[in-house]
Amino acid sequence: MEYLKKIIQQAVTTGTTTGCTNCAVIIPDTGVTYNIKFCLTSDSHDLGFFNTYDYSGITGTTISTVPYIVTGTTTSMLNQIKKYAVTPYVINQYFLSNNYLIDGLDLARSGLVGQTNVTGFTNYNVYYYVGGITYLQLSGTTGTTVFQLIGQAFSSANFVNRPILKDENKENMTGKPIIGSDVFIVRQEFSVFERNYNLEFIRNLAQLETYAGGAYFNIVNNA
Amino acid sequence: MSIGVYGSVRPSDVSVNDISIFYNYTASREIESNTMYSLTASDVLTTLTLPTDQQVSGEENILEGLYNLTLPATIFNAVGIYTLYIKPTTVNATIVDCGVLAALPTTKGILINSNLLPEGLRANNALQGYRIEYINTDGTKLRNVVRYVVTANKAVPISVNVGNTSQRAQRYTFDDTGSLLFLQLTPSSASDVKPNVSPYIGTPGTKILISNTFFSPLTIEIEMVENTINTVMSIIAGNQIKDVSNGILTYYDQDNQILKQFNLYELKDSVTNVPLYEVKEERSNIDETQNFDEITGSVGTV
Repeated sequence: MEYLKKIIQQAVTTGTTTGCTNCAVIIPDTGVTYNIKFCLTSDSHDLGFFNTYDYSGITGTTISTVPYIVTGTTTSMLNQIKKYAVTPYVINQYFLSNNYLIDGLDLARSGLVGQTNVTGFTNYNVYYYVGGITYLQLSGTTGTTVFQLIGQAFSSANFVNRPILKDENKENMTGKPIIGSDVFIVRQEFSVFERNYNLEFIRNLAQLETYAGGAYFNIVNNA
Repeated sequence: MSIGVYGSVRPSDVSVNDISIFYNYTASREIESNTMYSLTASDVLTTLTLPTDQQVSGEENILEGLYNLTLPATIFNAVGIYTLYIKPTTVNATIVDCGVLAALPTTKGILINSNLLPEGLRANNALQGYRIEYINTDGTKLRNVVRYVVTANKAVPISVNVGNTSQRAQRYTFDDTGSLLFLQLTPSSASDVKPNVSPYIGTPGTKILISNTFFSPLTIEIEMVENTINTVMSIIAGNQIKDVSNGILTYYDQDNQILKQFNLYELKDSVTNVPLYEVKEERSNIDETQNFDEITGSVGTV
């Protein structure tokens, strides 16, 4: 624990007294305040991994899923909507769409309606859609593309919005427990080429059944 | 060699409402004074904010870690030593029950009545990270034993079947409609070498102290003094006036306020009238007519 020491001079003022004219006594000034700055710190420790409480009776807190716009920049995704076509004109080179939920080039927003002989995007702000994301490739550029999508955040099934707890049965684990579906008993096995178990030493049927740990072998005559 | 590190000490942004301040006064170190008093933190503590040019509109813009402590001279007015102790606030509670979850019988916890807690601590996991300390049945504190709240969820009791018998047991399940808070504490897991014995987390009826862990406690010793090096320098090398007519010697500070005043006089032999002593005696009654600015302001005027 930190320990600070400060020295403060007592503020004084004059107070009235009796017994003399134009006299006063020096007394502490109670009308002032003394100010000190100091720092507080906290020491954080990790409580470790938690589990969620996935049992009946708890539905978790409902989180409002108000859609919102996410924008940013990326590289061109035009090649994802390009189709194989032996033509120099761009309106024939790409899948077309007028809905952001359908992948394709938006001719109307790109100003390409009726532009059947355009062979490049250099002079156009090109709008297209891939996977519900709207892309805008700015005029005259091929490296800068602006994307825009409608975020849903907590509606994702990957989020678990339940009470958290520490399941002591799962403490000290660094991975999923290994569960074996069968119980295996390793039976003793011997190599067929062990001298003591060469076929020539087998004298009866019982020895043959236990030969090489009861294993079966195919005998192939490769002479 | 590490490939990634992080610091765990950070400037605290604790609310002043989560801080308790106590103080003690003693006139000198020779006097033992153990009486503690309290201050209301929200009255004397304020958080500082970022410089104006670094503030973000619409945000609180606090400068984390730095706080201003304002000591009112109505309390801190005597020469001596004031010791201030700044610590996280503590809330008293009583363990209602120690139980396990119906769905996870190995998950142990203590239960407290959330309605008796401050409103801000009643929500699920609001107590996470808080420290639990225990009071013995004889009222003494169980020293050197602390537990920390890992999770805090509202819970209700339910009755469940135990094994294949007809017996039933009361256990708990998380439910936001409950008024009880199920607190998991750490350490509470059994040791690997003694799996049948769990660490102590309390017993029903035990009184506990719940403290936040938002910052490290701090002690400030304030020595209230009558003189500093500035006043000493003022007395040695500052302005002073000796009133020849009445023998009053007055010392002034840098603002020409009266620091000290003395009577100067001689003691003479009553028979021979020969001076025996020259006396400089501090005056308790200050002659306010010895105003430096008024006296020196009349210099050169008729």
